[in-house]
Amino acid sequence: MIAPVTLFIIVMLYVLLLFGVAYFAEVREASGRSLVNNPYVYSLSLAVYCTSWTFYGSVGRAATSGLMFLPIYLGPTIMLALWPVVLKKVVKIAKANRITTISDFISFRYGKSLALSVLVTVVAVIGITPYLGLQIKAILSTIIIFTGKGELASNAGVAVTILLGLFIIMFGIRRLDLSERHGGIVFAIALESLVKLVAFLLVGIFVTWHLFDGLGDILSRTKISGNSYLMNLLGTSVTTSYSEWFAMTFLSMLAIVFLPRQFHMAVVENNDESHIDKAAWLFPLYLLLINIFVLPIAFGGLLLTQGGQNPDYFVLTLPLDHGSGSLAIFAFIGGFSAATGMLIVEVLAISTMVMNSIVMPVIYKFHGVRGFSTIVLNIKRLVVIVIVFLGYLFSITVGAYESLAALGLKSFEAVALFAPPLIIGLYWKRCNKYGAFAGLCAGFLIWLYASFVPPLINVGVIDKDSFIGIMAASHFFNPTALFGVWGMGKTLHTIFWSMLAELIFFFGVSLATRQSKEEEMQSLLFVESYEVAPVSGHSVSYVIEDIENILGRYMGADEVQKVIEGFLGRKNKDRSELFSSDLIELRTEAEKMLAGSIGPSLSSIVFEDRFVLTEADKVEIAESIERVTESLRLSRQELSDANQELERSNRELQQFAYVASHDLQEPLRKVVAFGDRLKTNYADVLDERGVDYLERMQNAALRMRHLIEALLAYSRVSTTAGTMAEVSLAEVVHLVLSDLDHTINECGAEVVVGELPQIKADRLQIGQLLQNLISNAIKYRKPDGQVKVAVSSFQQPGSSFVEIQVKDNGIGFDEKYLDRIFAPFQRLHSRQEYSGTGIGLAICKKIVERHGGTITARSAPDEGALFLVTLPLWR
Amino acid sequence: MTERCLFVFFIGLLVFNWPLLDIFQGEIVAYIYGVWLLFIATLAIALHRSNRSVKADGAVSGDSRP
Repeated sequence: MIAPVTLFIIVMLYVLLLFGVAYFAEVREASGRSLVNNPYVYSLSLAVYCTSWTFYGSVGRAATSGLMFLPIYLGPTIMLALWPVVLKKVVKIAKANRITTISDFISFRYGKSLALSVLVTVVAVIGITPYLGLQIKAILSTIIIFTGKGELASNAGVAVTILLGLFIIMFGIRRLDLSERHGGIVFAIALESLVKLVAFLLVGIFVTWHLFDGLGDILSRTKISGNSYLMNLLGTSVTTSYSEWFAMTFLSMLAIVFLPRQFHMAVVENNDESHIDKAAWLFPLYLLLINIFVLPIAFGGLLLTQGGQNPDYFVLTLPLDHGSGSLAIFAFIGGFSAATGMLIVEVLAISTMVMNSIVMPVIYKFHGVRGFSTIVLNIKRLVVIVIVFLGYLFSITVGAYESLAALGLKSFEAVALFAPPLIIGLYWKRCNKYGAFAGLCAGFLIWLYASFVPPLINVGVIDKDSFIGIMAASHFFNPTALFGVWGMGKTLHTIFWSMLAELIFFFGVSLATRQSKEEEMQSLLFVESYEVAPVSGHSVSYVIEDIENILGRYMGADEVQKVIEGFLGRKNKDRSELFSSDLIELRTEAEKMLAGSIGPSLSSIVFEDRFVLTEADKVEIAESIERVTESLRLSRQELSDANQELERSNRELQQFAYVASHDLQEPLRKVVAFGDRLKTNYADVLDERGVDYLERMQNAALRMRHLIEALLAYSRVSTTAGTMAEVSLAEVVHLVLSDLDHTINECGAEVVVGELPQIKADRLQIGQLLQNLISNAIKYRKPDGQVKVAVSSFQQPGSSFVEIQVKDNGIGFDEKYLDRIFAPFQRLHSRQEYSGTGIGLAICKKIVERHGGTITARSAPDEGALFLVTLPLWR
Repeated sequence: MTERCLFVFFIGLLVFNWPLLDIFQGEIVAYIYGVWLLFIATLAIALHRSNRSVKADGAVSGDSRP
């Protein structure tokens, strides 16, 4: 046992450390050297998912139900595979519109519906309170275990509750602009995640290798003990409850997104969308690590205590009972971290929901806007304290009768109800607020009935002879087997019926009712990521000062000034120079800004109250939405049709070029041949002018033949293309150089070939590409001096592309002609200066594009040229 | 990236549920922890490759230099 004072000092020191760490992180952030803007801290902060339920409850669950503790961690692991797709979309929308809670997000999707926002908040508060109670219960239980004095628990509980409330107030709600991220809290939570992981691993190592001789020893002693209960835990429990296994996996898949604290950490506190990609595998790795020693601790504990202790607290009692007090204290700190981390973030998220959805709309209705910012801040502080104490009350009343895992699962079931309106709302435009509201109500009522009626009847809160009691005793409305369907596990039963009801109402009511114009606009934003532009063209009835005044009532004067100055700076205008369209834009921006402080629903109400839209504006908005919806539908179809048409005409054009150039060759050959005969046989009967005409005609025919051959070569790139295979560039260059051997020797050129990789290419075409580039380098040489050509390659680490460089010391060209040199039959020099048709580089470009690469050049007159070709590597 | 993520997601649903768990009933603990680690590695590789190809696509469709 440890003296209560010692334990109190330890707790105080740890809380002070958290305060210090949070303060340090905020100072660093303010100085522009953020500690939290990296994927590792982001991933660790997501581990707020692992609460005391994980730290203590997993071992308890493993000791009573074997592997059934695992689905709670496997679900998030599976779900995180979808995060880079789904969560990025949520983060994008939330950031763009300064959304700070899950209730605001859902309400924002459904036309900023305040009623829906209130309902989501009520579900969250009722659903999460058991979970808050779970954390406080764990802290109180561990204090009793350590001190052996149960009477201390209530005082300690109150003290811990106040301390946590203060921490949240200090670092969570100092200002009203809630869309500001809380770097201090995030860093403190990340530290807590690290502490609980290390503590759990150390206890696992202690049990496995200090109390036993490793994993094999625990397993063999389990077998030797002949305890069939223990043996059963190692496997058959899974086979007997696959439905529960699946239900819990499914629930936890949803919980990792929809628990208010997870939404807060993953969406609101996200600094950079790219962090999501790394967190998608780092966080599951954390979950794996924190679960590695659950079974050894559970089995070790059962073997050593022979079932004489509560397995929920083996993590603490095993080190304590086996002479490792310091490890036990560290484990206590780990458990304390797990509980407090969850409490801090969850209370912060829920208090924001309560404020935005319930308190502020009420204040706005009854109190107007006088002294709003001060009132709101103080009320929010009060709300934080109330919510923390609500959790405390639950822990010492109902929570006393339930296990840690059972309490946690109730919360998971409740937040799973947010999935249909949010996820379906991201991908289905037709769903509306009536459907979302009806669905959520139906699901919530069933969840409430199935989850709380049985325990409340058991503890006597609901009388068995009351209406609900009689209903619960009936065959049809039995809360553990609704509609007379037996055989489902407890978790599956609740989630199946509540979600089924929710989905039926959600789809049914959505299909039976119409969306408002506001909803249509929001559905475009969510589903199509298309924001309908504010109306323009009309004069507006407000001025910049009106917007300033409204913001000033809810935010500090300095912050309002920053917003206005920022807007004017971006527009590069003075206050007096703003047009109506600018004011409309500023109003939209201000509404979003205010949404970060008071939620989108109320923000919308506040601005609509002050700036009532004219009938003309409303008609224009409606027409604008209809136009956008229709054009989006049409544009997709048109785009597809146009694409097909383009592909068809491109094929026809290539075919035409090939056929035309091929068929033109024959008559041209005859023109040249008969011209030759004319010149040979009839030159003496022609006068000088006639011979001149004949020679000109022959030269023109020859030029035309070259052009046709060039055109044929150009069209062959696509019409007679070979297959892509592994090609050694070094070999190809070697062959090209041997083909050009005569030309190289003739002008004494020096060709240096560097290291070249294997690429994925059409061997013949790559040969043609390199031949064109090297022969060009030789052709466009300076009249004096030795020709030097270098062929080399460059590859960026990790890239799947290689850059091939062909450099020469020739005459070069002005880069302003860069586009021209790659166009067919375009030349920078006359035929007298340099022979050719101007098709070579056009062929190069076509070959490179066919390979999915790029070609460009760097050059200056008389400075030589560097051609850069990017091609995919062979992998 | 979407296709890869969806593929890994469905693989996860498959390997961590019935009937595969039933097949490996004899070595269920080793199976779950082993497959868990493998799944994380697969996810990391899939995301890494997706990001790399996104960057490479950017290089091909954007400026000439990769």
